Amino acid sequence: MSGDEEFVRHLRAQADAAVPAIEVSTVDVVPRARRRRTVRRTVGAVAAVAVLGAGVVVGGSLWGGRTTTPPAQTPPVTAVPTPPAELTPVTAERRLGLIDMWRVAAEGEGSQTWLRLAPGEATVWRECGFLSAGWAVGETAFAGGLVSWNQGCGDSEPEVAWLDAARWYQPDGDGWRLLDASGAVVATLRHDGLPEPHPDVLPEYAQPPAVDEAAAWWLADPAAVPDGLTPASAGAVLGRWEVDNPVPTDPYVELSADGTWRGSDGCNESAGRWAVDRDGWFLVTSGARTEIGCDGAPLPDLLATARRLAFDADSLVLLDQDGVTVGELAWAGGSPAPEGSATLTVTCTEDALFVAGEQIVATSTGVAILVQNDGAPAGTYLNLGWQGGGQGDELPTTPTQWLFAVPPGDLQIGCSNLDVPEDESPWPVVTVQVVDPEGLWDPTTIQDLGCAGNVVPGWAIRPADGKGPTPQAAVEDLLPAFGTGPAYRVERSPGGYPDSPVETWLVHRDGVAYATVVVHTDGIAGYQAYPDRLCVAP
Amino acid sequence: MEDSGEHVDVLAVGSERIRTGEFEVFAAEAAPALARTAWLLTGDVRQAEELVQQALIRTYLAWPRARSRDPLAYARRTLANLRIDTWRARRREVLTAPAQLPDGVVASSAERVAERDQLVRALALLSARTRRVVVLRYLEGLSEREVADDLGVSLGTVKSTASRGLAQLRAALGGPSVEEGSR
Repeated sequence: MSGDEEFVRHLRAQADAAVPAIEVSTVDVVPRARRRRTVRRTVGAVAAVAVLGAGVVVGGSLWGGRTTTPPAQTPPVTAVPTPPAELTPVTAERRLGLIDMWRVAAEGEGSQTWLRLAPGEATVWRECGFLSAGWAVGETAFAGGLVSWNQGCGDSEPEVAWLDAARWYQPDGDGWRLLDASGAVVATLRHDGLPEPHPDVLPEYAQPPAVDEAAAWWLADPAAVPDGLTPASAGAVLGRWEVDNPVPTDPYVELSADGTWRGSDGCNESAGRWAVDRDGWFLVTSGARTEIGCDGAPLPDLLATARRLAFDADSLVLLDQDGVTVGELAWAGGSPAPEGSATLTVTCTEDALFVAGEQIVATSTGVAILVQNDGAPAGTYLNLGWQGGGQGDELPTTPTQWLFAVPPGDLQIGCSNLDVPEDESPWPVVTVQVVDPEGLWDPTTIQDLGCAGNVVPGWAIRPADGKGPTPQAAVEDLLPAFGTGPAYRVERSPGGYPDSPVETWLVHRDGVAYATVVVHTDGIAGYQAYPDRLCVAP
Repeated sequence: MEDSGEHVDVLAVGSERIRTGEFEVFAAEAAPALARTAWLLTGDVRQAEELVQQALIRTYLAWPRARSRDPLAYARRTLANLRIDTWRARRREVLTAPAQLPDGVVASSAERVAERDQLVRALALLSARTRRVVVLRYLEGLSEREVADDLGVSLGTVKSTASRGLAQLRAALGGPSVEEGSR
């Protein structure tokens, strides 16, 4: 036996003796895996449903895989914003130019308003006095939120609508523009005089702040996300996050789709605003909070320190300016839908699917999903499946809100790509709940209207769409495609959501239910109708 | 061409149930071996537990692919590579020299703890990369080819790294001890 072999035998024996008893609980593995929302079911099965099962549910149907509504028809996107395409990244050097005193022009704002941007601190000067705010910028993203104000500006929190609405920023000559989620300008910042000093405020606050090393450090690009971690996108971090080991005082942070966050170290509540720029670059502001001694965990402080967010398996990793991990958090539930919004953000990436929430609230127009494509290969589809139906469409290149007439109940969401074999598909299928607290969904089906309705159209060539200024006119425009001679009567199915931009109509031929027609509107060019199902075997 | 929603439900739920059942049996069987590897890589019981959990989670997520070949190899490969992720992510080395033995511990347990500490200390001297190679090649008894596949490195790298690592360990542990080596 060689010396090496002998030594290895010795080493192995030593290891056998040394390895302690380690109890690994495997019962948590599957639930934890599911919590990652990367449970892979048969994505292809859902894709198949999209084709096979469509049309059983009135109001949700499919032709050639395209059933989504045009963006022009959809409500404004209120969920996690993604940058309008035309935004130009702002370099660190150029960002330094933000540190200054700016005259603000914004709707609803008086003429005597300035914004003083200092590292980590913004001051809004108004005629009533001053308001203190937090702010942060990335390459294009902006986050700002009020922290405190002097009494002259009111007993309750004054509204600074343009600051709350600002999601992006761009240089504009020697000044700046602040843009809202849709890319509309909400404020412009110009060099134009200085505010009058205020008796309650240090005189230096009425002057531009120093552009110094501290400012350069504060505005510098944070260190890149270390290898092995996946940079987080805004849609993927929505929801409640806690420390992995439960603490009795329940410290947490919760990131909401409206750009606000709140949290607690277990005893002190905190809140602020947040955004995620490219490559997990995290923008965060913090508001005022109490300072009660606490047996908890300083999650809000850690969040406020984070400059990048990334994922390590199912942990959300908070990284500071230097790329050092300052915290690791575990997902603890979905984010409540922001008020007035019922949009679920779904992101397909090259090898993952992120669904920001476990539940979606139906509105009168249906179920709104903000579809994001974050590097998914060309030809990748988003597929939805539900009891009795399904839909799918190719991912858009830019974030787009789609509306679906999904009934209350389970909704399965998956991504698929015909070039990726099913058994190698990296994408999970995630199930979320569609809830309809207002009872908007009408369960009437085309069967209820006398249409057997479970037959995919047999015509090989789709006739030209019917078009018209009203849904009925569009349906009637299509009728010649069914053959001239018979007498036709059309009626709209009441099923589905009342204000859905997709309607299902039933065509009776010579008094017998014959076919269904789907009617879309893009809100501009009137209505388009195309045949969907046959009520009888062809 | 007809279908119904129920069909889908049965398909999805059925395959999920089978998958979970298969995986749970595998996980229970594989956990002790994975825990041993994880401890040798980390020298820390808690970290080892978490590593195994993470490796199993990833294995579950990739179950169709993992089970089609060798699921244990898949899980071990995931574990060995995860270790790197975590090292990088945490930016600190978890293997530190253990505390001195407390006075008054009974002899048998003291010997065991001392032996454990000696091994941990020796492994801690190796770089993360070398330690992974040494653990998989010598302490887990994988072939050079298997180690190369697991770690995604060339056969030559495994050979040279393993040889260097073994020499470092030998130096740290004072060569094959006569009484143990002849056992």
